[in-house]
Amino acid sequence: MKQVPLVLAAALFVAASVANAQSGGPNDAQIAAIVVTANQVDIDAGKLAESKGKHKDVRAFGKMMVTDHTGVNKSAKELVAKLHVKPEDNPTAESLKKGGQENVAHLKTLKGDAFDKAYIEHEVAYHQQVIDAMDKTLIPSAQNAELKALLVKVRPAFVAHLDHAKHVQSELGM
Amino acid sequence: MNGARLSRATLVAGALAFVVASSGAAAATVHTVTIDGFAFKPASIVVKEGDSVEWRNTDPVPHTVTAKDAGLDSGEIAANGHYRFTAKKKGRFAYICTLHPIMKGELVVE
Repeated sequence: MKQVPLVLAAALFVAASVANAQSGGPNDAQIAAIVVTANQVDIDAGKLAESKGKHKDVRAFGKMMVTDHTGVNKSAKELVAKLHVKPEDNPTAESLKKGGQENVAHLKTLKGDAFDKAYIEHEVAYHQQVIDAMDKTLIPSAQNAELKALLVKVRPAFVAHLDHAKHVQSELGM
Repeated sequence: MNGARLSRATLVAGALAFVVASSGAAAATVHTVTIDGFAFKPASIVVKEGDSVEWRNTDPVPHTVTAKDAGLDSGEIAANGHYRFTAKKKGRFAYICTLHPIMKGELVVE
């Protein structure tokens, strides 16, 4: 069960390492790719929870993840198009994608309470680590003022989701 | 200055004054709350009974403004959408976004 958050931790550790190695952190094109991938990963897991979740709170949470992260991604994509930034693949985005695929594959093997528990547990870990990555790497590294502003603006979404995920977790006695 | 020009200027000024006066008289008080970064800004707002409050959602995700005891329930306010409510009941009402209950606001109707 702890394997998935570990993969994620590794991905975000790479983000921090990239930042250190380049001393200036990931560039805006790389940040754009990381943001879009981070949202997409959570949309994919949310879609699965919407259809596979046992408890209605878990299904509702999954639906909210799909709605909110789709909205965030739409504004991120609009901004990068406006700024003429082409999202650039990088090890962090790749690891996020891989971690997301592994999470979905793992969740697909589970049912009922086991699915709900694993999904929510991953959501708690995921949002916490994305917040950490935003604070330590993405926001400080963003060069373009509008990109930085967008990151700052959407950060509370991750905080609200983390809070909500923890609430669902305690409500279901997980 | 000839008389014709003067009288036209007077007419224009008069018309303008009329427009300003009537728009002033007709304008209902509309207060604005901005939804920005998963927060209501200002978080607390004091209005008079009969005033309107408009919530403007500047976030890229939907939110709601809900205080059942105030008869206030916006339903989903889409990204970049808005919702207007006329305060008809006096009192102090705590409201939330039902989608993101971490978001809290207060509406005081005097």
